[in-house]
Amino acid sequence: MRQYGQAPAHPDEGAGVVSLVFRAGPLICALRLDEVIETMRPLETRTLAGTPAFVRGITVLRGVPTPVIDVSRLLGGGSGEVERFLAVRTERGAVALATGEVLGIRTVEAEPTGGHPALLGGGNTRLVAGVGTLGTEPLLLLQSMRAVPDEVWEAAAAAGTPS
Amino acid sequence: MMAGRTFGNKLAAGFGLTLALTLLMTATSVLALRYVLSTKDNVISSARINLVGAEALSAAMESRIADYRGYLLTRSSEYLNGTNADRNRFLDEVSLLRTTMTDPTSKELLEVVSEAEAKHAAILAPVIEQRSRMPDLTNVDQLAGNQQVKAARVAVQKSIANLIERQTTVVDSRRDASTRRAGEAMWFIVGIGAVLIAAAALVAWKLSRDLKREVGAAVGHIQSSSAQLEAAAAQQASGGRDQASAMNEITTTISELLITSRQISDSAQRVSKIAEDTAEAARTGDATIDQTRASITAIRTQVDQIVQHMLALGEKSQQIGGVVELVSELAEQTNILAINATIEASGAGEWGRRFAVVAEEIRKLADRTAGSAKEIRALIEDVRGAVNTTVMATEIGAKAVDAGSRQFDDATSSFRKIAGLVATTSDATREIELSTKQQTTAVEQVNVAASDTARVTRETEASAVQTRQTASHLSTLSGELLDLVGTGRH
Repeated sequence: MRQYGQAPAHPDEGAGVVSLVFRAGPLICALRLDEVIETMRPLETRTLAGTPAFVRGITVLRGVPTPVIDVSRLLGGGSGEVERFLAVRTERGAVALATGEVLGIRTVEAEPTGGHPALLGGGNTRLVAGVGTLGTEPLLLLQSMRAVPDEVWEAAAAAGTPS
Repeated sequence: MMAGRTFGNKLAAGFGLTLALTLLMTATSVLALRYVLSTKDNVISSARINLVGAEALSAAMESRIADYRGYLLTRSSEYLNGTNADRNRFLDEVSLLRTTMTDPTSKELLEVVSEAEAKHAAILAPVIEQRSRMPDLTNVDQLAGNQQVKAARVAVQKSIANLIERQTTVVDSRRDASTRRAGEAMWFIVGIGAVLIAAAALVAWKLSRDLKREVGAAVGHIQSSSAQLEAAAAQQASGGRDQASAMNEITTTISELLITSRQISDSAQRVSKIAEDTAEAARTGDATIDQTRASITAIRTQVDQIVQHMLALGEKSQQIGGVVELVSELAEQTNILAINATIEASGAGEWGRRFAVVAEEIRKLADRTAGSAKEIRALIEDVRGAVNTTVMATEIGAKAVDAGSRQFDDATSSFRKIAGLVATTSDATREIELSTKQQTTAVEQVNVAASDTARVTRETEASAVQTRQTASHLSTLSGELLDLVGTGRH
């Protein structure tokens, strides 16, 4: 197992997935790199009424209204400091993920089948694609496509900004 | 009235009073004697002139009678002339008695005599005429008027006898009156003499009493004063002996004082020398103080410069911090860009993967840059903290320098005060030295004076003994004088 911050000698090493690794509150998460559009500094966010607690609100990315998901709250880790926004692709458009520090591009070795049932069962199953480690800390490989509930999109649409 | 007068005055007044009374008695005695003499003269003159005159009248009358009887017998002119002369003498005597007699009865009797004689002469004249014509007389009866003559002659003789008797009575009465007045004068003089004796006795008694009282009191005072004087002289003699011994002690003490004074003079001289050395050292210290003050001023200037440099260093650090912020910002941007480039490159095949490697290296560089910027920022913070600490410490040091400067000023002031006091002390010690020398001289003079005083004290003691003896003698004399005065006091 590689140490924390140690990059793989080659991107194709092992059977891992090239992912963007970042912090979300107390957790370390990763997203497949092909789901990520770009990273940026946190932008101005407006709160949306009637949305879940993990939806921080809506912001404008490149001229497009985009909902902002707080990954730490989404994963139940509580509210953490937001240092970066990650623009990710979903089936219904881009979504901004409010995360902590971006740790870099890593090749993440995760159990795609879910690993331990205690970790991957329940409501989070559709969020966490697999579980690995980064150094001595657990690493959650996320899948973003189904992260945003439909009511969030409806609320974003109701904000008056056409997609 | 005599109170407050001296005894001499009283004595003079007493003798004066006695003398005045004596003079008064003498004068009154003279007056009384003169009165008695005049009275007696009256008596004598009355007896000598009036009574003798009356007797002369009788004798002249008898002589006339004898003469005219002889004429009648002899018809001699001698008898006729004799009887005429007798009559003239009788008339002259009557005229004289008229002027000398004062008694009215006698004057009346004189006039009776004159009238009887005139009548007798008138009767006698014819008879004599008758005889002149008769050559011879043989018988008396030849003459007519013989009886009338006889009656007239008896009348004249009787009147003269009455006059003589009256004059005898008058002389007797005047003699008695004169004797009575002489007795009165004698009693008057006796009375005056008694008064004089009484007054003299009174004066003598009063003078004696005053003499006893005043002189006795004075002598008593003299006696008691003599006793007191004797006691005082005894005390003075005793005190003189004590004083003489005390003066001996004083002389000894003054000699020791003289020695001590000379020692003090030497010590004062040494102190004066030390004070002059101290004053010289103080002047040297003054120069050192000026140098130290210049050094403190230089330190203060240097500290101010350090503060200025530290503040400049703080500003530079802040500027470095701004640059580091910029570098950090650039690093973050580079980090984001590198990540985004990696993301973009991941979907671009083999070239993209190589670019991703480059982008990853750029991201690592950016991370290292950010880390270095963070460290620099921390170091700058440390520097700023150190600068602030240094500035504060320097300001504290500047304040300490200021406080030290003030304290040094105080110390300088104190030092200069000390130097001034040292100078004053030097002057004072010189004055002490001079004064001690003068004191030594004065003590020597006092020593001489004490010796003189001791000698005078011994003389005073001898005089006191003499005074005591004199007082004792005076006391004895006072007792004797009291015995002489007769107060019986001792």
